Amino acid sequence: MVMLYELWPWEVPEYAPWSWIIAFYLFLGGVGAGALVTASLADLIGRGKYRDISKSGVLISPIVLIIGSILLLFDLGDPLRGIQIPRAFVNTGSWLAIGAWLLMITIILGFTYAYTLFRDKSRGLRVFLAIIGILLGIAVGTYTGLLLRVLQFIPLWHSDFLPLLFVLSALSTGLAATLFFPLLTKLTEEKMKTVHRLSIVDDAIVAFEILVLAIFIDSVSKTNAFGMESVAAITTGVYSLLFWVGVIGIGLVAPLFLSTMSLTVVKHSRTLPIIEFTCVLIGGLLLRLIIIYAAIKQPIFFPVI
Amino acid sequence: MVNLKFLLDHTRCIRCKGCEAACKTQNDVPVGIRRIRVVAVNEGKPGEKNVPLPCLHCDDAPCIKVCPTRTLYKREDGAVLHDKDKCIGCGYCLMACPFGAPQFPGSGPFGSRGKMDKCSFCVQPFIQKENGQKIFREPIARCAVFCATGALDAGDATEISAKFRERVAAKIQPLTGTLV
Amino acid sequence: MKITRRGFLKASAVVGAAAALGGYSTSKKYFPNELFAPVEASPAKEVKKVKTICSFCAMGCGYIGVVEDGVFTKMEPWTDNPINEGRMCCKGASLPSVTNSPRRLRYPMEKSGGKWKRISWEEALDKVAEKMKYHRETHGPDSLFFCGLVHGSNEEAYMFRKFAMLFGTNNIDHQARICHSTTVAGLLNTFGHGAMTNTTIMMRHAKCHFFMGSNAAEAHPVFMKNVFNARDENGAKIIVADPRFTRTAAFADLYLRFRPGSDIALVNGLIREIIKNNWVDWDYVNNRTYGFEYVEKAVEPYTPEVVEDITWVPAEDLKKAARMLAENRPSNVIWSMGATQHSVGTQIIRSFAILNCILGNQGQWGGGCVPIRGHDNVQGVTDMCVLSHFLPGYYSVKSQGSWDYYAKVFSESPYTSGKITPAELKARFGGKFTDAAGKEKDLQLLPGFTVSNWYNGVLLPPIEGIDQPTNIHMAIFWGEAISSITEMKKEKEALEKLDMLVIIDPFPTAAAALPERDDGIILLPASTRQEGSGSVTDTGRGWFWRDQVISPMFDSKPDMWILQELAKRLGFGDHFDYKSIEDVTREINMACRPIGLQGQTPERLKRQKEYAHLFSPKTGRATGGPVDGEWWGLPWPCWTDTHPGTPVLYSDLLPVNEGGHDVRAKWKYPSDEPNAGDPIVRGDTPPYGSAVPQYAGYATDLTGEVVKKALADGNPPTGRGRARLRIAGWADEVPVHREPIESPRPDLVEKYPTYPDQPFQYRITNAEFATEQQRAIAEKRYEKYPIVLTSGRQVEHHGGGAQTRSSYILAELMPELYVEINPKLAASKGINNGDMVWVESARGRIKVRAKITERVNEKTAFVPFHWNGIFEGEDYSDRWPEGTKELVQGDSVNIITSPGVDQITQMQETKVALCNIYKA
Repeated sequence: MVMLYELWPWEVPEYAPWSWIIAFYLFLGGVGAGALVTASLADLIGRGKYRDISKSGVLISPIVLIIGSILLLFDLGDPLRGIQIPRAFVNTGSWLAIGAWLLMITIILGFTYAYTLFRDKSRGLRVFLAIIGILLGIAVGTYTGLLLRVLQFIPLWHSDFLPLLFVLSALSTGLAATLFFPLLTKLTEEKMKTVHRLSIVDDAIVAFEILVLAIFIDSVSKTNAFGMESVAAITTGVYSLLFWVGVIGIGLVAPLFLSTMSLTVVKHSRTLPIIEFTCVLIGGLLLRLIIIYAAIKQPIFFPVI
Repeated sequence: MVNLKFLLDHTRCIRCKGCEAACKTQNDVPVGIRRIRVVAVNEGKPGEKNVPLPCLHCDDAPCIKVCPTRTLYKREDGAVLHDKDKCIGCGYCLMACPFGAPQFPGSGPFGSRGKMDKCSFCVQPFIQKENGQKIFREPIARCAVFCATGALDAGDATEISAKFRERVAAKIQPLTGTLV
Repeated sequence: MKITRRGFLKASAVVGAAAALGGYSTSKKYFPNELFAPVEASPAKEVKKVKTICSFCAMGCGYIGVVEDGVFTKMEPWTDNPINEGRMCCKGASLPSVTNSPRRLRYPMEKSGGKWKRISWEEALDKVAEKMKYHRETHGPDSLFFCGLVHGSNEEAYMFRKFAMLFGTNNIDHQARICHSTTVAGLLNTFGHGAMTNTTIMMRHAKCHFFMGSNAAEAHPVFMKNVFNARDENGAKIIVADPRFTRTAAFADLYLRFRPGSDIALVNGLIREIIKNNWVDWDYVNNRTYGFEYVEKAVEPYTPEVVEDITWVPAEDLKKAARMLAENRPSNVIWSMGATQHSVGTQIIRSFAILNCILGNQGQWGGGCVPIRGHDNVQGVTDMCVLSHFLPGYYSVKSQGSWDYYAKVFSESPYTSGKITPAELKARFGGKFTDAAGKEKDLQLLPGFTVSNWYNGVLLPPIEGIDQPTNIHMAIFWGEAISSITEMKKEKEALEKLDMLVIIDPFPTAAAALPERDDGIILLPASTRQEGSGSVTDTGRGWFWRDQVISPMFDSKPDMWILQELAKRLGFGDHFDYKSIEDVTREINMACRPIGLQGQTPERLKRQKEYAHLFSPKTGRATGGPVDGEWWGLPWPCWTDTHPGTPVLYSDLLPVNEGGHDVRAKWKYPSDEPNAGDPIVRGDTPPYGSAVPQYAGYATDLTGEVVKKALADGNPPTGRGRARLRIAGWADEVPVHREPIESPRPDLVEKYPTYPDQPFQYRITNAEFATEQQRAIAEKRYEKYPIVLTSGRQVEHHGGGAQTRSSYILAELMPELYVEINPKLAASKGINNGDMVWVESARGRIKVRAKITERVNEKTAFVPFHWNGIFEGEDYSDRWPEGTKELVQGDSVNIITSPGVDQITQMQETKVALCNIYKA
């Protein structure tokens, strides 16, 4: 028997082209953006104190972004054409095109920055690159949200809070990724202090993220039936376990708890921060996955009559 | 100035799928893609309604706005066309379109999605080039001329809306004598 | 740029853009206009356009086939065609993919030693002819069974029937037997002609459409166009009575869900309600019908409450429906297989006819009996009587006069060189034999086997089981897919037992693959309808000329050529040496007189096609030009070559010369009437002509003088009679409810039993009706199989499905077989949407996918019938010749449908069976 379609496709219009690849891409884009912002800030504020962290950030950022871009290329129907960014991405009104350009510039900037950082180039240049890096990082983080936000017939995505949520998530996951690697190397008192300090920053971001996530879910549930259905799928339906345990539990509450622990009780453990940052990363990925998969397009069946 | 549009009449659509077959015959659309599809609401229950859903060639088309490569464009006569040479197959137009008009030959990762295809008012067949030249046919939607019951009509917006008004006016409740 | 539908007919030239494509990628313009400077592409192809008629259902839709370099590639709408105005359903619109299907049979093949191998046409025809001769000589001509050709043209059908006549057997039948034979019997015996009384165009003038047993939205989509036109223009009401809430029912003003097989109770309930409320058209009843008192008496017990008990239809809805029918006249009854395929099919149709007579709908534009036929030329093939009990033009085989008439026609026909005397013709038959009751019978005058029962000719012993001295040893299936016939298990057995099986079809069909045999199957690739020409009759009796779109593809041959070659080899080629297919049409014009096929000459048919734009899509009548006053398709009866055709049968609204007609006056009052023996003629005289009986001898007068005299009198040659509401001598003179063979209600079977067994029905020695029904009760099938199974069509597929399931377009649109199950029933059985389930009846079981829907109620299940390739869950697709099996396959519902047949016509009962469903 030739099965040309899945069961009864003629009754359910199929809309599900974006899958886990896009979720990973959005996640990695966020991590890259956040890492660049972290590295730049560390370089600007720390005046050399946080050199390790900056180095980690500027290396992670372009590499992660390249991995994300490669994933995105794999998702395209015609990767060979997709790779010709200047030739293909010509519609400056499309967020995908803007994003492609942003990513390209960010990657180049990341490598340049890394070069200057490792070769100890002049501070003036580094400050300039750091400021650009912060702006670009925030732009890339915002872009991952705006990419989805402009799709007006998908209530879950068409929310003003989505870009904000993604920026916050990008910053926190970027920070986590940046701090993750220095923790694996030789640990000094100095480094530990830095980690603790930045972990407080992370806590603040995560706390804010919880708030934004709550507002986001609430606002989507008030849009229309399809928004409500998406929210229901996330909070009580098929994705509820992933959401409550994965995103809220592991991704948001656990880091806060672990961070408090490592700041107050177990001050010299490197395991706790490692677990904390892993949790942040897992939570960020799950958040993207759930938001991609729980989206429901609002079908318009009777546009004329 | 012509502005091409479709008229979809759910009071006449019986979901015979003549439009889908006519489209496939005319445009050589392969298996897996339907430039037009008939959608049923409340299937099998009282209040069952069908409506054919081609690309509606929106005046302010969301797909054109989001397309990163300008694959999609609006022609002077109102037809929203696509240029497959430019398509990278990102799927963004599909996510933006409320009617599910843009279609992809496959789904899943690693280039299998292929290039986008959608209703072109029968201007462009599925394979858009012949002997190195782009094919541009007269914009006569075959789904509409073949529609079995007149549920689907296509043409200039002014003509279409006049036709629609005519139909609404014709559906006056008749006077029936009551028998004793 | 103004676009109109007509403007489209102008060649839509392919305009291309020669602009360098590299240039625009860097262009910053949002709308790159330079791309659209139209440049005329060089006309690389030779393009031919052919106006012709679609080859699926019997609507008679026209289209323009586009042939590019000899390949049928595209279609364009034939917008002038008054029937469909260019419109098509999905089957019609995917015709090129059917014609060009790579799954077609490409060359003659023979199965020997378990392998399919290619043979030449010469070899194949020689082998077939040799075997035919052999069986004719050893077992007699009745050891053959000819079946099918329902998709052939009228000419090929006529030749096929002539072939069987000259071969010497009545064992010839086609799908109309299992399609509308009960309609023909029911209407013919009531009014005089067994066909749709309107044209489909006239549906526009009806005020109320009563669909009963028709799902036109799926089976005949283009038909719905005029139904909707009537709704939107005249405010016509739509009533749908159907066991399923069909897609047609979705548009109904009133929907009646009734139990399959209880049609007559429902209609009798309506008739009683109409009589009780005095909504009867007394003028019509008094002047133009006979036997109203009998109807009045017969319907008396069918009170709304009784009807509710039998049919599930609430009494209130029944009353509403009766009122709606009466208040919106002319109303009509539209039916298809839903009403005909019953063990009481003929009586169901009779009850529709009675309903229409009582309301006075019959003979009104848009009113009356509207049976919509299934195949593109099933009406024409029925008129050509590829049937075991009629000769072309409805001359009964039981009368020696018919045979003598045809011997005369064959001899006098100027189009062939053959001559035959009645005695020589008789000698070609099997002669006389003594039947099981000891009576001597002449095989020439004995109706032959039917499609629905042919397998019994192979399986049952001669004389005791079948009413002929020999078994069937060889069968020729000509464009007949086995999957539409019930009792597939017995059929499979019969196909395996045959000495030789010949299949002539563009596709191998299931008949080639179903039998598990290693040799003795010959497949001959016939060309499709797009590759041949000839005339075709639509459901509204209109004739159209179908032109050849392309020359036969692969090594396929037109049916006419195959018939001529076979006849040559069997020694009667001189009766088939027509110069062209038009000559056959002329012979039909000469021969078929009872239904008036004199006017449909090839010249007139071609002229109508040329002047199609002069015909109004609202009435079907032409104004101006050489076709002035003609009706589209010259619907029969078309008495002379100047007659315009008869759009509405039994209508005295027009003079006969402009298309008027009247009820046939061929019967006499029965013996229990005071005026016994007088011809039944109508009461008052209409504005034209006078009340006269049928003109004697008009049907056998080759000169046409009698017809001319009748027309000069202003009367149809068939006279002006009365519709017989009562048929004296039938088991049921007026239709009464009888339970189907397999009924879920044993209490009702007791009250309304089916007919007693009938000896000598067609060639079955003892046809079982009551015995079979009692067996079902005794086996307690109503407990074991509590769900009523009904079958039907899918819009994407046609008949046995060999054509449509081989089209990549249609296979994609409907890739799977399903059983429709009500959510409540599914929940109680633990079945989820999409599960594979077994549907089991007393005959066997089939494995299909469950589709949970409220279309059916919890007591019924529905399975479409177009599928084969799987037999009781076992895939047998490997038995098809390599590369020819259909793209999508499924199990066949006719493995499990009821064994019941109609008492008059042997119509199979596919619409009511008992089944059970459980998870696979």
